[in-house]
Amino acid sequence: MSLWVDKYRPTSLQKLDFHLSQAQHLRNLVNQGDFPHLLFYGPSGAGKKTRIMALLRELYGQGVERLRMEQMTFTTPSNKKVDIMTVASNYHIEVNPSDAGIHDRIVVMELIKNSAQTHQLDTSGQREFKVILLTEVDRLSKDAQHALRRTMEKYVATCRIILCANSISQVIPAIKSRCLAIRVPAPSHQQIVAVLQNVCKKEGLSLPSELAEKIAQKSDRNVRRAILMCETCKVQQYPFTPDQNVMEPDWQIYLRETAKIILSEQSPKKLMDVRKRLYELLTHGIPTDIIFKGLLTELGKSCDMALKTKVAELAAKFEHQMHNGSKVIFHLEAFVASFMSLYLHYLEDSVGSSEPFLTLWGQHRRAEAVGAGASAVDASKDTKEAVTCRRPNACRPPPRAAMGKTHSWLNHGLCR
Amino acid sequence: MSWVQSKFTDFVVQPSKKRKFERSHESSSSNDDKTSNKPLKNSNCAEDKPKWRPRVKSDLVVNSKKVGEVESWLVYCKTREQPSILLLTGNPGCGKLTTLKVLCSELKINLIEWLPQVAQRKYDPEGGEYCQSLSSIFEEFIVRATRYSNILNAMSKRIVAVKDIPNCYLRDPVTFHEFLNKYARVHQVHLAFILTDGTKVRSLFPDHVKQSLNVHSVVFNPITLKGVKDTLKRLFPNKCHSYVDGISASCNGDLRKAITSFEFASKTGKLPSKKSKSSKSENDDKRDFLDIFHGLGRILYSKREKGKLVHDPVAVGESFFTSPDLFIGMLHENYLHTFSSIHDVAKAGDCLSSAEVLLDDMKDSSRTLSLTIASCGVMTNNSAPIKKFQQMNKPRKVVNVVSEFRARFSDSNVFLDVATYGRQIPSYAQENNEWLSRINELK
Repeated sequence: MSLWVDKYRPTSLQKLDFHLSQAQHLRNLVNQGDFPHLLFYGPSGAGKKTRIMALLRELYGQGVERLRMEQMTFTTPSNKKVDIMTVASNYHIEVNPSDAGIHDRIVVMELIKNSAQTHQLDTSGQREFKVILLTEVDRLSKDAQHALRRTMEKYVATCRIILCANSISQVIPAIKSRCLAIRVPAPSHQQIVAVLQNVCKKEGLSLPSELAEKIAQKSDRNVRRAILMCETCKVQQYPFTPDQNVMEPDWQIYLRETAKIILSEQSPKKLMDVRKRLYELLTHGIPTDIIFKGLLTELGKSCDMALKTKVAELAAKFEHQMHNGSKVIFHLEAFVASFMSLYLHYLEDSVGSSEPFLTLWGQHRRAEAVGAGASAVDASKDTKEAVTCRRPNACRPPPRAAMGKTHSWLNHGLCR
Repeated sequence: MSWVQSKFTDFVVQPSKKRKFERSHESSSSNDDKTSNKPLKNSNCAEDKPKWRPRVKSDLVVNSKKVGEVESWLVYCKTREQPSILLLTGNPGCGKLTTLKVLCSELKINLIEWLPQVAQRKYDPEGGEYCQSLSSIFEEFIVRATRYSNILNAMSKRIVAVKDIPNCYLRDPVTFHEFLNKYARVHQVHLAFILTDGTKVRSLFPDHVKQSLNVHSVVFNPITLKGVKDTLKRLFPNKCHSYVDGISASCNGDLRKAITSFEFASKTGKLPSKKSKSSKSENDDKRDFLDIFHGLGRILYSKREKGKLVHDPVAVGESFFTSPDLFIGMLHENYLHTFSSIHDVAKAGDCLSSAEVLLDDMKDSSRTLSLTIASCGVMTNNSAPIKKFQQMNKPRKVVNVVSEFRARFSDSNVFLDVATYGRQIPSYAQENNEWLSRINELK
């Protein structure tokens, strides 16, 4: 039995649940005839892949749904064999080149060459190009991206490339300018609730709207995660109750505990413990951007606004360095160390004021801090993206009036 | 008929070739009598110090136990027919070959030494000019040196010493093992390999090879400080001895280096009498030999005298120019133990992070810069180092346990969500048990 996520994935552009006007644009794009290279981007769980598959179906019809998994082997110049899993139909091939690690350049080049050198078998009834779908383009090395740029132009007669990425800040401008960039924003909470209700109706279940709202809140505006959460809830308890427990991802809880450790004591010894936990996260394959974002969100809850901007700045700096370097632990740890130092200064400064003051801070900070901190990483890296990404947050009520003018101004500046 | 080569005259030292053979008790051929008449001596080998080379066992400064081990092996070879291999390892200049030579001459054993050479062009009447591969030259040499006895001293025992194993074997140790299996199992073949590098030793002579081929291994320690001093004093009785301390301290048990540098100093007339000069040059010399733990210690437990750092962080960093990844990795893994204040850690961590970014650039200049930033950053920011013994750890390699399963999904975020929740959904978990069960919970 497949998961609900796969079972109820919309298969055509007409059946999509949200971003309907965009779907119409995509349909027009297909009908118009001149099909460019595309670059889909947006936060994870917003429906990029669903839209790409629906688009392919619009282009080629039912045929694209007959998929086969194939293992392809590439040989690097140093005679190392690189195996890559590909998913292909007669009309398209899907690859995640970042699986090849540092050898991604050779994979990108060879793959495009191989599939672009053969024409479509029967060009009369269908498109004269094939589609190559590359996922996680933002994790491609710069080398591979430059190789992609050249091959993209060379084989434009026989193939189109669809790229899929979470953020385009890691994509080189040369590629951005060669593609039609299509942003798929994360759905709003209401949209997620609607999707959940829809899925449950098809399953023949009744979902209380409170629970649907709760799941939507916890899903981080990620439809995939929301549906998975909903299915887990069904396994744990059915019929649903409105105040039912919704399982959070274990790494999120783990990150929260890590943040607690960081806040509990600021010393090299504690940093050692944190390092162990960071290693644990890395060995479990938790992406580093999630670690950074998660830590920043949790740490931000205990900071006042002035401190929060500083922390966000630190996180932005070390995340940037992390993308330039190769050993992520150096930068993660440097971020934690810098935060500890900053936070200790902050605590020492406020030692003069009374203890209740501190706890008071803690309480109302928790209410509004979450979104602003995390988005700041994006904001300093790629302002434009963050601006559109966080738009639904902007309607959030301003924080307590006591926080003062600067505070609310900052919050708006980050979110709008 | 110039392309016909006599198989007997090939042991001749030809000036164009680098290949030389030493035979202790024979003159190898008529046209080379000038060089080979003297026992244990090479005409144009600059590294040898014929004057100072010890002639008798009592002159050796090597630990007598080690000498005894080598001697017992030689005696074993002399009396038995079984094939055997001796493996001498130790730092350069600690007297491995010298010990072997001295003992061989005392025991009247014929020592044939393989010397490195370049693949040379040969003339083949059918195919024209061709290059003989180094490994085939080496094999040919071993066969001839072990199987065919020289007419001049047919009765004496032979031992073949190999100091520079051809590079092709280092690249591919399996071929070396095949070679040994082919040639070293024959009766009366006694080979002595001399190696300095520990990692090479492990790859060329792993345990199963050692057992199957009857390998005796003797590990030589560096010459003791006292040994170096005594030797220098004995060899140069009439020279200024104030310099001996400096040189013997800086040579790190490398007697050959000590003798060469002493000789150089005396030849150029730089034998100083002032103490200050000698201590300075001692420091200069020592920098090259800083081993990694020593270097890490200097940086982590930064020593200060009157507010000034005793060791120059730039110099310490530069001495690890050849392996900056390892050095910075080690530094990062171990620096936390020695810091007492988190504010210092923050500064040092920032420096290490920048250094790591620079390290990714393969340019020489950025690697040096990276080393400098890392060593200065850790050393100068540590205002109050904790001086307590801590075991140094290797940099941990992050092995992503889930990467092999990730390929089932189109991107890593999908994988993360499905792996987290799929486990909770029984029908899915059952179907995908083989990979889901291998992902452990976060601890």
